[in-house]
Amino acid sequence: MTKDHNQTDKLIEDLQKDWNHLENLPFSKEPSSFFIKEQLQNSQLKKKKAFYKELKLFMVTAVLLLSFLSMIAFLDFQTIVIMEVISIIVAPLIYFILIHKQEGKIFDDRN
Amino acid sequence: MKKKGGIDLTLDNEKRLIKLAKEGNEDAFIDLFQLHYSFLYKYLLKLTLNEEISSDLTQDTMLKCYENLNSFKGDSKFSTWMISIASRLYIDQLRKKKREVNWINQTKIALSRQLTWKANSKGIEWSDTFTDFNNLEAEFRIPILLHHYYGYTYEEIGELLQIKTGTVKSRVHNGIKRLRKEWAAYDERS
Repeated sequence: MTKDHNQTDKLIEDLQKDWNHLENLPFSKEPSSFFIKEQLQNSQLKKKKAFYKELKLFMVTAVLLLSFLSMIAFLDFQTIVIMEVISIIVAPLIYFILIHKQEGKIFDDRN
Repeated sequence: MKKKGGIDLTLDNEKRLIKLAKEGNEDAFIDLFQLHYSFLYKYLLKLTLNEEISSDLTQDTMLKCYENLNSFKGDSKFSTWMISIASRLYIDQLRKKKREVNWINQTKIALSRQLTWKANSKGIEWSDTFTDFNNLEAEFRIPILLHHYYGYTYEEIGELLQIKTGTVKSRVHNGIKRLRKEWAAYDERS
């Protein structure tokens, strides 16, 4: 038990020394204010573009789906009911599977 | 052991900068980030052992912090919040690259050359334990580093990484146990 403790202490001590070495190695200085500002503005621009792209995609999909559904509703009401029932059952199932997949993924990596 | 938070920035000054940054003052955020840059970069360097990756991750962390600044409630130090975001970004990056075995191998080779060169020029030699430590999975390395170098408690690490305190304890314990096993193996061989 004491041997284990001593070993652990020595291990930690060694690691701390190495981390201190890393801490004290010379590295490049922090980026300039100008560079950071540019990065922030670029990221905001990218976000804006991504948002509009997604919005466009959403609108197109919504219009397509709505026109498709209204067309079916006029032609065959029974199909609409069947589709609704299927989506009520399948949607929660997909949601549950996705949540289940996400769980336990953290720290699942090996370096 | 390094003191958590790592930098000499008075709490009042930090709070003032955070308040200004939350109000949309970009310069205040830049000041805040520059003050924490070295601390964050060196934390990531201890995990990645690669200057380029650390620098990229530091920038990604900065952008994430900027986007989510309003969610920072001030319960912890700003540097702790940054470490929390950086750790999760690092984990995400590892997950993304998980299948690209070649990428990881190449990085490892590049990293050891870079670090060896710098260490040699300073006359530094890394311990065997350090090599073993860096071969551990991130799930062990992060809590060990945060606990044994930065002095965070198990509870704080749990909050930081959004895992249970018990899980943090067992990861630190098991990580150290694996390092001890490696040590024992060296002893047997020599």
